[in-house]
Amino acid sequence: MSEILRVEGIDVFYDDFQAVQQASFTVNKGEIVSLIGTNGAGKTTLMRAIGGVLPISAGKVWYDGQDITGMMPHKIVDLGVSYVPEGRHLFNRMSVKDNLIMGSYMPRARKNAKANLEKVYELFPILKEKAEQAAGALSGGQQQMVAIGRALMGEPRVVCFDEIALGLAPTIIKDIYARVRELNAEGMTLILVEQDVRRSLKQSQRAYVMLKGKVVLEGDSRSLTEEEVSKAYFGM
Amino acid sequence: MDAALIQSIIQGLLMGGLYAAVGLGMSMIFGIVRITNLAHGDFLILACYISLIFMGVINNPIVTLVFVVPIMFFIGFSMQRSLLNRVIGRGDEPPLLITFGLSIIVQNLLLYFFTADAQRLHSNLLLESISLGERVRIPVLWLISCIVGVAIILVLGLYMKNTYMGRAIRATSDDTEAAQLVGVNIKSAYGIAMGIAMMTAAVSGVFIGMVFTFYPSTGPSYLIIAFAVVVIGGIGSIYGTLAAGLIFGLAQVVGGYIVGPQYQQLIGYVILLIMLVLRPQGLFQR
Ligand SMILES: Nc1ncnc2c1ncn2[C@@H]1O[C@H](COP(=O)(O)OP(=O)(O)OP(=O)(O)O)[C@@H](O)[C@H]1O
Ligand SMILES: [Mg+2]
Repeated sequence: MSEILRVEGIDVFYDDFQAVQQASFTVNKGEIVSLIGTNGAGKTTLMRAIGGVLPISAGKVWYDGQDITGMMPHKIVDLGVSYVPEGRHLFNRMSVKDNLIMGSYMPRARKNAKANLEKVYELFPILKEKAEQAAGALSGGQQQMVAIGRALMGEPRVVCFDEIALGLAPTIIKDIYARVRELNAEGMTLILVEQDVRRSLKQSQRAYVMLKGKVVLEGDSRSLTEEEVSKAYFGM
Repeated sequence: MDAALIQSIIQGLLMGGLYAAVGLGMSMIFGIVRITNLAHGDFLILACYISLIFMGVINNPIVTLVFVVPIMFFIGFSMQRSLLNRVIGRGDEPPLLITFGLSIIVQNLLLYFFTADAQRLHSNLLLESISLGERVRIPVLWLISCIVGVAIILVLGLYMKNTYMGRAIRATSDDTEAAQLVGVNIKSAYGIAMGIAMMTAAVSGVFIGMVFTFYPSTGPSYLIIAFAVVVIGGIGSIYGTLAAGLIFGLAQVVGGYIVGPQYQQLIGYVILLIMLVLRPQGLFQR
């Protein structure tokens, strides 16, 4: 298995406060990797830094053999690394369809925008029904589908989903995870940021645990035990 | 209704179409880049002077737009990229200070190169009118200004709705980080938004220069009109801007007819104050 993303000892600060310390992890092509941690562990900060939205103070990020540390966010997405942000961050005043079309903003994705839009509608049929509604008026689950669909419109190779289950009903979570597995079966590499230990071990092949800004445990999701992960998770 | 009242209603509405175009660029920058462009009126007048330069060769102000519009786009784009983008995200004051400074610079450069003399962009259309019945006449130039004002609003509305760049500009104003995450270079989106705002200032400015006289220091009175249109229409709403322009133009001209034409400007300011007190979010904002 070949490596597609490698993060080497990165530090990220909010002003004086260090939210990520010497974090390292790797993701291989075609894998599902989960990143687990409690509230405030630094998962979102780490992902936003990889996506170029936050500055990286030390360390390196490599994507497909290329150094992408410090690149502008729009360049990083264009290379194929997409981040579905925590809290969805939809364009609330725009229609569902316009949100999805914005996902194909990059010139390389525009060519296939029509076909990709149909694919997203196939994946989440409800979005076709709601196409003309303002994204901000949708239910939480539907908004999450728009956020995922919008990322897919950009034809990414690696996608990071930041807490896609947050605040959703169990049946909807199940449904969304089923879609996520389909994407992976088609060859997409995925990073799942999660707070739920059991769910993330079940859905992924490998897992990393973060605590207070550091990566404190890593391993095969199957061989890691829930106790082991919980201990690292709570820092006991 | 007497003919003079009908006449002033017509003129108010025609004026309003142009006012809407005057406010459009200001509203757009307010809503999207979140900058209060205190130099908006001065850029409008700058467009008049650029047109005046080309009048030396072309002698038709409307035709000079072929040059004035792209030049103004370039000025707006460069100004955003080289100055304003540097201070984005550092609070409201720095961009306010920059645009205030630009206002002073533009006024003084115009004064230096063109003197303080009154100017007008001469057009044969100024004296023509269409008569409607016995005592009501529609001034042709005002009619054209109004049509052009409304047209640029509609074209901009379609552009923002249907093109990738238009959507990207709206998306950036909705959620800057999310826009970056779908691949928008927000600095260039801001640059293009400012360029487009300056294009609207160019067109409305040239028509203003055909209808009224202007001096290097006339800019601020159009800034106030633009500001009134933004306040009445609500921030960043393109069609709200159109309605606001019409309302403001109508109120000013008809008010002037009732109270006396010398109070026309004052009436405008009073309306602006009343709006700021009663409905600062604008008439068309939820
Ligand atoms: N914009 C910000 N400014 C300052 N500090 C921040 C900011 N965002 C997050 N932090 C702090 O950085 C630390 C890491 O936060 P982060 O959001 O990355 O954690 P997380 O693991 O994603 O948590 P959660 O599971 O709650 O999403 C926290 O202590 C948080 O308070
Ligand atoms: Mg988070």
